[in-house]
Formats: sequence, C-alpha cells, structure tokens
Amino acid sequence: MLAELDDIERSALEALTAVDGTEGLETWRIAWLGSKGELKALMPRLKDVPKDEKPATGKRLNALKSALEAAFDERRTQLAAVAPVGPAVDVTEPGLPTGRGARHVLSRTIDDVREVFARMGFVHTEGPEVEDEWHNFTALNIPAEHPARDPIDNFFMGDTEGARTLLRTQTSTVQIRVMERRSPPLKIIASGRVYRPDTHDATHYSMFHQCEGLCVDRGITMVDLKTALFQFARAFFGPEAEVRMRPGYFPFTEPSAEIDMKMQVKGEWTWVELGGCGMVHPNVLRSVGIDPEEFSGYAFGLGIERIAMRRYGIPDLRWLFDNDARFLNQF
Amino acid sequence: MKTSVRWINDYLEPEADAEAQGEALTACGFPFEGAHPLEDGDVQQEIEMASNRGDCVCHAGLAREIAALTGRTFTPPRPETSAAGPPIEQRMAVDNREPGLCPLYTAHLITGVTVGPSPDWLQERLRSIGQIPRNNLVDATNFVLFELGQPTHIFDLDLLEGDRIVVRRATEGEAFLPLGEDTREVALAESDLVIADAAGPVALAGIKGGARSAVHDGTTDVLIESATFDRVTVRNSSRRLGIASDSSYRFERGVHPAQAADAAGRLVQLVLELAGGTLHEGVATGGAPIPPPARIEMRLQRCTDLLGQPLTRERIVECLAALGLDPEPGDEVVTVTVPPHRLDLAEEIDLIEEVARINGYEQLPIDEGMAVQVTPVQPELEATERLRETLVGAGFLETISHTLVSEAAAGHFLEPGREPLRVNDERAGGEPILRPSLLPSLLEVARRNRDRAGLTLGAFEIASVFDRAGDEHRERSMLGLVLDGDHEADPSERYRTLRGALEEVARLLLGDRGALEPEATPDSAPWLVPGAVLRAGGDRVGTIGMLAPGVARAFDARGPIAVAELELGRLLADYPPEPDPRALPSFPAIQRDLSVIVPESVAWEAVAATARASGGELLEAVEFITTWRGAKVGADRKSVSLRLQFREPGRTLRHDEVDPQVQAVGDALVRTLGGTIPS
Repeated sequence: MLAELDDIERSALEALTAVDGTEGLETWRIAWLGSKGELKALMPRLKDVPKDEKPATGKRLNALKSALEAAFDERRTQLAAVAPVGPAVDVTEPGLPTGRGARHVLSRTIDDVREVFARMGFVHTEGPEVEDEWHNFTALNIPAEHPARDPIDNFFMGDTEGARTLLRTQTSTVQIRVMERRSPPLKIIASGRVYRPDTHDATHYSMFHQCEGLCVDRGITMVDLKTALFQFARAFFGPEAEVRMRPGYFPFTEPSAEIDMKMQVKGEWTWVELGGCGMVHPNVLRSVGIDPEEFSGYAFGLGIERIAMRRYGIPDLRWLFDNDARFLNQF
Repeated sequence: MKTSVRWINDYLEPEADAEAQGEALTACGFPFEGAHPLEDGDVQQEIEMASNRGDCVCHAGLAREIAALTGRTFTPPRPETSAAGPPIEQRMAVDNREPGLCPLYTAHLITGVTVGPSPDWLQERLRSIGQIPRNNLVDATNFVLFELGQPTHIFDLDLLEGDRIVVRRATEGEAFLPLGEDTREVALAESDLVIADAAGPVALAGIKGGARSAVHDGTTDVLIESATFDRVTVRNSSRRLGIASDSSYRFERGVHPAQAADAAGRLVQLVLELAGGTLHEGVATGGAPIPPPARIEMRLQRCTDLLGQPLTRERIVECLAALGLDPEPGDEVVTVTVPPHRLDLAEEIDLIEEVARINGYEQLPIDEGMAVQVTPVQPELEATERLRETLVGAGFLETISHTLVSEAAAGHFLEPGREPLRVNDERAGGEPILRPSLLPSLLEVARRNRDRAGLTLGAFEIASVFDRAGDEHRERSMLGLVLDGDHEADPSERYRTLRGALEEVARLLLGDRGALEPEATPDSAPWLVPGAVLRAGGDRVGTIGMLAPGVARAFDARGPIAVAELELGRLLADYPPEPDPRALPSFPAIQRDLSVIVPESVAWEAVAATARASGGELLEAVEFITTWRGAKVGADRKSVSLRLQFREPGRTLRHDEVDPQVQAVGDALVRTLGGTIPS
C-alpha cells in the first residue's frame, strides 16, 4: 500500500499543477481531500494492512494528507495572484457623457472676483441697466456739456434732453443708487453689464461687464484703496501678484488712477491694465448728500472681460458672446 | 499723440532718452504705448492723452510734465520780435461779436513774405511725428500747434474782403467751403461760430480755415490769427458737420485765452524767420477781459488725511512748485496760483491729486492687513450661484448674449399689451431693441450651434429683460431656457426634460414641497403652442411650453424646441427655503399601476386630480408613469399609465384592502373623463 500511496501523491500533485482556476481548484480539493475523496477512500483499507506495517502506513497516510493540503494552499495562493476574470469591458473605450453643461467663463469670473471681495467685507449690490442721466452722469460729476454725454457714445432712449434714459455706460451708477439709499459706512461691490456703442472687433464690443467697488466711511484713504486692490490681486492671481497704480482721469474720482496688476499670462508674470480707481470725488459725495468733510471713500472698477481674456489667453472678445458650446465647454 | 523724443528734449535740461520719457510720461498719467525709431536717429513715440489735460497735447506741455516729475529744468520758447511796419489798425480791425464763444481773438499783420519750402530742421520735426511738410507758412502754424498746443491760422490778407475780421454766429444755411483737398461746401447753422470778412465766412472758428482765404505759393501779405474758442461750440459744430482737425481736438479740451499771445508771438517769430516780411505794429484784438489767474488753497492736513500717507510740508510744496503752481506755504494751508494752461485745476481736491501724482502713486504704502466687518451670506447671491450650478448639472450650457436684438427677433416675444424698449438707432445698427425676453438670444445660440457643430443644445441665460407700457418701462431679472430638438426628437420628451430641470430649480428655490405649477393659459405667451404659465404659491413666475411653429421657423428649427422663462425676483425672494423634515413611514406602502385610455384633450393634471379625489383616505400619492399613443389606442386618444400608492400610517396594509379603492379610481376615470380601462 505504501507504493500505492506514492502513486496517489504523484497523480494528485500532477493534477493540482494542471488546475488553472478557482473552480478547478475546488474540484481537485473535493476529488482528493474531500469527505468522499481519494484519501478518505483509503481509510477503510487500512484495517487490511498487515499489523507490522500499520504504524508506517498510518504515518505515511498522514504525511500524504499534510503534503496535499500544503500543496493545495500553495496552489491557491498562486492562483489568487492571477487577476480574476470580470465582465467583458474594454477599459480603453471613451467615457459616455454625463450630460453636464458648462458655466460661462464670464459669469464664473464675476463670481470669482466677487467672492474675493466678499471675504474683504464687500456686500454685493445690483442696479438697473436702464438708467437716467442723473445716475449715469450728473451725480457722477459729469456735467451737462461733458463729451461723455455725446449721443454718439451712448445708447440713449427717447429724445427729450434731460429726461432721457440710457443703457448705463458704467456700473458706477450703482454707487449713486446705494449712497442715495443708505448712509456710510458703506462697502459694496456691484457687477453687471454696461454698454457703449462700438464697432465689434477682436477688442471692442458694445456690451461688457464691470465689477465696481465702493467704500465710504470716516477716514478712508488712498492707502486703503491700494491695500484693497493689493489684497485682491494676491488672493485672485496668486502670491506673486502685484498692483501698480498710474495717474488717470475719471470725473467721479480724484485722485484717479489706472489699475495694473501683475498676473500670470500663459505662465509669464505680466503687467495687465485691469481698470480704474480713485478717491470718490467730493462732488459725487455732495450729490448724494454725504458731507465730504466728514466722510471719504474710494471706488474702483475692474473689466471682467479683460481679466478673463488675459487669464485664459482668449484672443478675441467676440468669442465670449458667440456662445459656441465647443468654446464654452473648454472652461 | 505721436511725439518726437528730440522735440521734447528741445525744452529739457538735461535731456531725457526715449525710455526715460516713456517712463516719466506713463508715471504722470500719459501712458507710453509704443516707440518707432526714425531714420535720422530720432524716436517717434505714441503717448496716450488724458481727456482733462489739453495742455499736454503738445511737446512743450509733455516736457513740462517730465520736468516736474524728474527734476529736470523746463525752458519754454521765448520768442522776441520787433515790429517795423505801420500799425495794423490801418489795415485790419477785429469785431468780436461773440465774446462768450470766443473769449479772445488776436490778429497780427505781416507783409512781404515769400512762400517756399521750410528749412530742414522744421521739415524734420514735422516728419518725426508723421506730419507732411507743405510750405513755410503752413508748417509754421503746425509747428506752433504741436509745440504749444495753441491752434493758430494764417489768412492771405489780399484774399480777405473789407477791412475787418468779424467773429460771429453763422446764419442758418450759410455756405462755407473748408480748405484742403476733396472738401465739399457745407451749410452752416446758427449754432456755428465763424470768422468772417465782408464777403462771408473765412473760417469755421477753431475747426478749419476756408478755401477762399487760404495761403498759396504767391501769398505776400498775411494775417495771423491766434484765438480762443468755446470748447462745447467747437465740439458740437465739429461733430455735426463731420469736420475734425488737430485744431478742433485741442479747443475741445480747452485752451486758456492767456495762451494766445505766446502762440502768436512764436508764430510771428517763425514766419519772419522762415518767410521774411515785415511785422506791423500792434495787435488787433477783440474779446472779453482775460480772467486773472485762479488761486486755490489746500489744507495740509486734508492732503495727508485723504492720501493716508504723511507728507511733510516741504515735500508738498516741492511737488506743487515742480508743476509751476507757485505755492505759498502757510501754517496749515498752501496757496497756489494756477497758471493759465492748467484749466483742470479748480479746487482743493485737484491739488491733492497733483501732490499724489508728482510724489508718485508707487510711494503709497500698502497695509499688511485690513479691518473687516464680517457680513452675512447674501441669500439671493447664493441662490443665483446654486441655480447656475443646478442647471449646469442638468446638462444646460450657460450663455451670455447681447441685450440688444433686432426688431424682428424681439417681435415674437412681446407679451400682449406690452411694447418694446428701444435705443435711438444711431449706433445700434439693426439691433435697437432691448430684448423683452431671453428666448430670441437663446434660440439664435441654438441655431448657431446646430448649424456649426450639429449640436442640439440645452442652454440658459440669466439676465435682465425689458419692455414698456406707455412711458413706464420694466426691467426684470430673468432665467431663460431652451432645449433644442432634432427632427427625430419626441416633443413630449423634450418638454418633460425641460420641465424636469425646472422641477430641480423649484426644489432648490422653493424647497422640498415647493412646485412650479403649470397652468394652461395660451394667450399670455403667444410664442408658445402649447404653453403654460408657471405659478409659485399662486404668483405668476414664468412660462413654459413648446415654441410655436411660426416662431420655430424663424429660427430655422429642425425639430421640436422646448422653452421656458422664470422671473427670478419673486423666486429668489424666499430663498433659502426652510426645511421641514418629516419622520419616515414605519409601515410599507402598496403600489398599484393602472392604465386608462382618454381623449387627447384630457390633461394629465385632470387624470391625477380625478384619481386623487376618488382614491379614498388611504391613497397617499398618484404618480405619472407614461403616456402611449398609437394605432392600438386609436386616433385622438392616448393611454395614460399611473401608479397609485396606498399607505396606512399605523400598520401594514393588506392587498384586499386597496382593491376597492383601485376599482373606484378606475370607475371615476371612466365616468368623469370619458376614459376606458383596457382589459
């Protein structure tokens, strides 16, 4: 019987080597080590073994069982190392669209800008796009004969001089509306569409977006203005961003300045002109009944299109209003 | 303005190279915009002008700014001339009848000049800024213009009729032929100011000389005009007549009468030098008295308070002195005398700006931090942002289109009784209407994407829409949606997809139990067929439906297009909705599906309402499953499948308990809606 056991061991191990999957492994285990398997079948025959051979045969039988169990464990480990077979899916095939749309790059930019100023305590405000001449000009220190009122540079409605309405040419109108309603301290941000007649080309469009800030309180200084713009630049464009103010002219602020910010344009830190700012002109404060001797303030306006175009390297302004899904989906 | 670096250096000591000039002018508020090296070694630069600084639209003016900022010495030209001819009064007088519009008119007389080419230095100066040299007389006036910023004019004396120059308003319809090539006679109006002789206008004041009295190769005797004209009159005439010139550009920015004499002296000197001749004694003048120089006080403390940067009195005085403002420092105030060229300086704040500008904005410190009052989250802002994200998540593309649309596009979308709001057509091209709806823009976007890329787009825009009734206009913040469909699209599927998106919007803005209820009222939105008004809590907040066939054709639709608009004012007012969570049911529900064939005209809402009314107390919900149409159902009929859900809050229901209710619903649908229950 000892010789037979050697044959059984050889056959069992050969069969185990041939097993190549989890199912085959289980079949093998049942066939050789199961309760009705080959080894179990040998047990009844043990009583027929001559008495003097019994201890050696029993020992051999136990050793065989241990050997097969060890071989089984080893083979199972080997097979487990091979990836299991799953459903037939080619993982290199392209994804199915989830059907998600896209935010417009300009509305996203406005939100981003507003969010940074909100952290600085600026409260968002809106105003009408159809304005009267008081809010768009007179209260902003743009007197009746100022060239800015020329019909060629404005979308006027109606023709009665003085009682005309127009599409606002700047979001500074919101400053006036807020100051008429509320007393200082004021810290507001207003964003929206503004309109100036222009022939449309890569850098001109008769509608664009501004983000306007206004801060009025006792003791507000030009240093506060520069600080606010600087904090914005760092938060918006990154820790290497810088702010530069150059003298400029706007009727509603004095001193006035152009705002340049150093931002990353295609990887390069570059100075970009982003808007205008200044200390609120005393005449503007007077026009809304705020005493310029008691209160002072600053205001700034940033061009949203300009920020988006330079930030993302968009060469043509018209692309922003063309609403081609293939373009808008890139943001 | 184009500048010549050499020309500016004529007035500076020490000279400033091109880069230094560009940097200094940028820092002064006149941004450098580009440089072009010239063949003769000079550099032409492009410098942007400031609209309130007419005094700097010339080389001497810019040199003065550079000197003030950089500490260089500025030396303006100081012409010296001597008269040898008999007094001008013997030949010419000035009769200024409009001193309000022409504060000062001066005329000098030179006889015996020889017209010829200018010397090289003058031709070089003019060429360096892109001007074409003509002859010594014309070149001299141009030189003075670009040197001092004061326009002048030279008349051929022999071509002037009579013995006086008259400054007057034009008569209505009076004819005037401007000098120059290819010019045409224009008809003047009473609002135009002219320089006239006995025969009529010889110049359009401050804008253009007339052809009749222009100098020519044979000119020998000349009258030299140096005058000041009202900026608004010049601008209005220039715009109305479509005649602009370097002269009108400067007068529009303001020129002080005290400058006329300097420019006249300079021009006389140049004419004598370049063309010879004899200057006659005296000046023929007419106008108002030249106002004395303004004096302005600036409080030192006020300057520091506004800038937020302490400046010493010495530094402040230094900045003002550099600009030639002749500051007189006191203990608390500095008083300045405003030179005539600085028309922009009128009050204290103007001086504070000058101090800040010359001291340098770059000198203003930046605070490390700032005091911040924490403000609450603004609900309507959060709502709008989440609204955008919700719609993007639902597959819609956010778009931004121009507010102005064409009359034809807007015409489809006017509510009955409302009229469009329109801008004066002058600059709006063919699109003068403030859109009464976002739909014309969205449909145009859908068409564009369809044509260009074969896309059937779902798109939205959030913007204001406008219309009016009589003189009263409305401006409303609106959400517009369009869901395009190709020619195979199922209209119901398009509609229900759009409505699904709006239900998400309702859930966001109105809460878990909020809803936008459609109510079919076809007349209020004629561009929808079929269409419905959407109500929230009884208020009308928008419309939804399928684009009417006629309108769809106007936008080249290929298939059914579902559209909707929501007024955001009312919807955002209640944001955020207050959640009111309920306990979940402890016992299971029983669901039963039922189909009923009803006439096409029976709305789902009628089916659901009938089911709810007849289902008994245990009926918890009625849900839509689907609608089938087809031959098996019959023409003008549809099969509507619905799901009834029954529940008893306190225990588990048995099926036999709901059988009678299901039967009752079926009976009610047959009885009240003319339906049949298929076996």
